Parts: sequence; structure tokens; C-alpha cells
Amino acid sequence: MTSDHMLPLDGASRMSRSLKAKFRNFRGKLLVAVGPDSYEFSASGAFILANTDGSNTLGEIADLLAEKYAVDPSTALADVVEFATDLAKLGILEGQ
Amino acid sequence: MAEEPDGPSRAKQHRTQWFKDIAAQLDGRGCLPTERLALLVVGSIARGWANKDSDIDIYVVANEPWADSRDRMLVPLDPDFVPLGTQYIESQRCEIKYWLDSQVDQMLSKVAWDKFERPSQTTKILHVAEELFLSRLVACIPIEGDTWVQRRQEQLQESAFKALLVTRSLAISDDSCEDALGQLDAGDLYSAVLSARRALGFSVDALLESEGSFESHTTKWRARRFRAVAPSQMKFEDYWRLETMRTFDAKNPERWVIDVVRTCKDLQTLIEI
Repeated sequence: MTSDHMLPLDGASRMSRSLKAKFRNFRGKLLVAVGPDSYEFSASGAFILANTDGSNTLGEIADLLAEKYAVDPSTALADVVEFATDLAKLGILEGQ
Repeated sequence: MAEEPDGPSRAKQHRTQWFKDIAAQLDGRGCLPTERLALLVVGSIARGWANKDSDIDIYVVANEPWADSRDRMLVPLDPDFVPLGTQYIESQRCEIKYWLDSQVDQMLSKVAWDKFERPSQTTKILHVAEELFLSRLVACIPIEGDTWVQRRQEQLQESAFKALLVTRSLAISDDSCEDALGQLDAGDLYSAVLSARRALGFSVDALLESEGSFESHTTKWRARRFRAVAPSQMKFEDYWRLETMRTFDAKNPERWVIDVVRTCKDLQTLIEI
């Protein structure tokens, strides 16, 4: 199930991981399964997912990402919003 | 718990001597094989968690099968049983299991890394008795056979044992989370609460297993294991709040169920396999 009704997302959006998704932190990689589909995330993707627990806005997560990976905050925000949008469509993230 | 006046090292010496005295008495009664590779105290006494009514659990490992026992425990190994013995020493019940070294070989081969690569089998690779043996090997006190124990502990450390247990516990937690959510949807609130409790238990077990604390089948020690491990991913107070259902509202059980399922999902991202 997707959270299309929450889209489009922006820096003020607050998302959390879907209760129906399964997560595994395997040898440093984050694996996610939703129904029959499974996905593997890079370290930065895993970092965003780990911080998407409903307590932070996407803007706040972007700030954390910018600090951790020393990237421009506006670029980080665009990346986080795009990433969260994709994951919402896959049913991995859902709106608060 | 107050520390013993002589300090922990003195207490440990006393305890080790007490175990040796027990072994000598068992030996004197003809309850131990003459040729043995290791003699281990395991379970709550070995961990220092016993009370005055606790049994003394002993594992004996030898090359030859122990024949002087009528009781046996069935295991999926060759031979397919482990002889059992019970003795009372100073009114304390002493339970002895007579394992074969070849059975230990077989158990270790079941947790080799190639078994881990077959995910469909990870939840049923070990029988409870086998898992308990390997788990207890980690936290045993050797009365005899230090070298044997060290070698076996190293083999276990290098195996997929930990990864298999963590994967198993997470899989059961997932199933229980799915049950809880499905039961909530169906309005079956009582079942949802029980499923959430089960999910929490297995998630916490996975967390503790990932930190090298096993014996998850013995759920009565979960809180003590948690305090001993003190995992960075979850505070004991947060675990205990859920375990004791302190925030459960009988008028709104759904909220507690969702809180538990969300905690389980959070832990999944934090537990390293």
C-alpha cells in the first residue's frame, strides 16, 4: 500500500517506516522487504531510513544527512524528499 | 545485589572449589565416565543467577557413550539420544547430561556458514536441546577440560550460530507483528495483544543474541540477560515498560499493540546480523 495521498512531500513532511515492512541490518547493508518485493539500500539510504521514525521532519533528516556526509543542505533536502517519495510509493514509508 | 565481602574474585574461587567438590562427589558415586573430555557447570548457576532452589546443571562430554542411565533425552543427532542423570548433593538437585564429542561435532556442523545461506531453513536448523547446549557452551564454567572448552568456544564463535539465531528470532518477531496487525484489523484485540507480546519477546531476544547472549528459550532470564548485556540500541527501562505492559490501556489496546510493533520494527533496523 502506498501513501500517495501524502504526496507531494517537502521538508516539513513527517514520515515513519511502514509497520508492514520488514527490515534487516545485514553486514552493514539495510535490506527491506514489503510483501514479495525486497530492496537493498546504500549507507546513505540506510541512514535516512534509520532516522525516518516519525520524530524528525524530512528537513531535519536532511540536516543530519548534510552534516554526516558533508554535502550542501539544499542538495541534501532535495535528495531526502526524492528518496522519501520513492519509498512512500513502494510502501516502505508512510505519513504521520 | 550486595557484593560479597571478600570480593568477586574470592567468591569465584569459592564457587569453583564448590563445583570441584560436587564433581568429586559425583565421581565417587560412579556417576561420571572415567574417560571424559570436559565437565561443565552450565545454566543459571554458571551465570551467577541461581537461587537456593536452583538445580545444578552439569554437562559431561566424552568419546564413549554413557551406558549407566535409564533416562534419556531425544535429539536429532547420531546417536539420537543424550543420557540423563539426577543426583542430590547436600539436598541440592544435580542434573547431568552425558554428551558425546561426536554429537558436539554434529551440532557445530549444523551451524556452519553454508547453512546460513539457505534462508528458508534458518528457523529450524537446531533442536531446542542443541541450541541450549551451544548457548550454554558460551557461558559455562569448565570444571575439567579447559582446552576442550576453549577450542569449542572458538569454533562456535567462528560459526554462523549467532547469525542463525538472530535471523530466526527476527523472523518469528516479523510473523508475530503481522499477526498482531492482522488481528487488529479484524477487531480481534485480545489475540493482537498476545501476538504483540510474542513479537516483543523475540525482537528483544534477537537484540540480545546479536550481542552474544543466548539461551533465548529460557525466557525467565530475559530481563537479567538484558541487564547483563546493556545493549546500546534500547534502554532497559524502555524494554521493561513494554514487557510489563505499564502503558497498556484496556480501553484502547490498539495503541499499545502499535507501540510494540513499531518498537520491533525500530529494533530490526538497529540489530546487526
